[in-house]
Amino acid sequence: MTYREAIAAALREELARDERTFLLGEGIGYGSGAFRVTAGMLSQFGERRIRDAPRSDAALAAVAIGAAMGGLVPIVEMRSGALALAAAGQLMNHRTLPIVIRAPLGDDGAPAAIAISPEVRVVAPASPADAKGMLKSAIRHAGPVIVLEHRSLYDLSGEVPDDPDYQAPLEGARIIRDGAALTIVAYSHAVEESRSAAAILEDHGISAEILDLRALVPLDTAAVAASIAKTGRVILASEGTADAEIAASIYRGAFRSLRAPIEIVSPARSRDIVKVATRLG
Amino acid sequence: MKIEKPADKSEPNAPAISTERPFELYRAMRLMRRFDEPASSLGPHDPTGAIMFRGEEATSAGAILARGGGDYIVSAYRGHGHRLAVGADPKLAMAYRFGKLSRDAISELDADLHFVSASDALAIATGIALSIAYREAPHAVCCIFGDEVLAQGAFHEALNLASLWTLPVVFVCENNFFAMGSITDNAVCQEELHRFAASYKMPGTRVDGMEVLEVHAAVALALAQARRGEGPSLVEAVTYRPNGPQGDRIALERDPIATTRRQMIEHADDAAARLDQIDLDIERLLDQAAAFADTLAPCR
Repeated sequence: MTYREAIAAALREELARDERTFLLGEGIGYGSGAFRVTAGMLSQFGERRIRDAPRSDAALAAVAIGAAMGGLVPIVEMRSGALALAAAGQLMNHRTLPIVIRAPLGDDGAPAAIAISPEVRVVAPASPADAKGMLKSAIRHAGPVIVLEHRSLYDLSGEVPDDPDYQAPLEGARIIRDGAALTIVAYSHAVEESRSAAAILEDHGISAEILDLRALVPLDTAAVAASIAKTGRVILASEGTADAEIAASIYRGAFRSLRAPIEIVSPARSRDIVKVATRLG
Repeated sequence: MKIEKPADKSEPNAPAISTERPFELYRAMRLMRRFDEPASSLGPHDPTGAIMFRGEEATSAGAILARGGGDYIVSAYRGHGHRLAVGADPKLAMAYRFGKLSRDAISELDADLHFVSASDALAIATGIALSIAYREAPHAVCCIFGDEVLAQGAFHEALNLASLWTLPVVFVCENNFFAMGSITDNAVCQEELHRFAASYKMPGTRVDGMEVLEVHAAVALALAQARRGEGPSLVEAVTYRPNGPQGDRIALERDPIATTRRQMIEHADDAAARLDQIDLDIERLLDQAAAFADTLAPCR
């Protein structure tokens, strides 16, 4: 199943499960959304559940806040991460309202600060399984969650559990590759780039560990520190958000483990990760 | 600054009101004002510098008391008074004002209350109206905001969506000719704000915001239309905030509470005694609220 299909499956299952859920976004009905995630949903669920909206950037998050105050569970699609940044500011005061904002990261200048408030969870799934499981958890969560997808991940394939009650936790990093010489901290599409980089580094005799952060709010700072305690070196393979926050947490939690300065590669491309890793010594 | 009295827009189809309603409106206005005014028992308190009501009680009370069960009120400003007008315990509001209860504590104690930011208020009201339409419930939203919003893009997006989706929401604009730091003549190209409604294909009316019954009738009519599924409306209530010599003079001459009181006594001789009793009850209520707030430690 692809990342796109995994997201669509999560949306379909949750729309069918809970009458309070509805989709809201620019062109999600007649236009199938920015990346065709919602294709076919208008005919399946109708205009009441699949609410086509205009490009009202400032209003959509606030409309979702109001709808949640009125007892609904709005799931908003935004066409870029930059729009999610504005939404994060609007959601900050509404930590008890169930609202999901889906937005794609990508090449349009990744927003630097979506992870701005402890009140608004931000997750960035890197695999189809997490894309489905974390979105389902986000929809069932009692507070606002921003789900950052990635335009380069929509066609990625992977195993996804069939269980309609499958959910993935909204926090906690995961080691997806063991290594000894270097930690690559990544999330979203940067995880894929890091996998390619680690394979190349293996040929150079450098054993890289990859930590998939999965969530940016809250950050799993303990997992980052634990990995660096083992490797002593770290590269932040970034999608342009939360770098400073992660770096600060490393100085706080793993400063004495560092044998080299923290490196940031943004945007994360495998050849750049390799270039930086090979000079870390 | 425009100072002429707005044209009479009394609405023949406005829903009838009970004989008690003028007393309820008077009480709500008086409560809002006395909460804001440093009464003798409040003395030097009021560390918050909250936005004051004086002169604008008629627009708020008139609009808010038009709400029915199941309707929502969304306030961009002066929400403390709006919450009092719908029956909230003044103790909590007073404790908040005294810096004794945090926002979070207030939200926990008052489950019906959400804090919203002013520029989001219109779109949030539109979203609540969307939830009402989604459930096909016979309710509506009354959103009260100031004229400064007319100079913001948020106004356009919210009214466009509300009309596009035929949502049950009434936008009540308190036009007091001042934003926080600018005068409306220097901020909005159209001085008759109700005329914006036409471009959103919704009814727009202008009422005298110093006449509480006039505001009440216009908002009640608009809410009734909204509940019937006829879509949103814009009501412009022209009012005056004491701000500079001209506004002060108008607010004093046309004080909505004094005006209402005079009209009610002219209408019925025995009204004076009841109004005096309402005044006394409010003083007692606010004294109790201030005493309660004094007992709490400052919140951290």
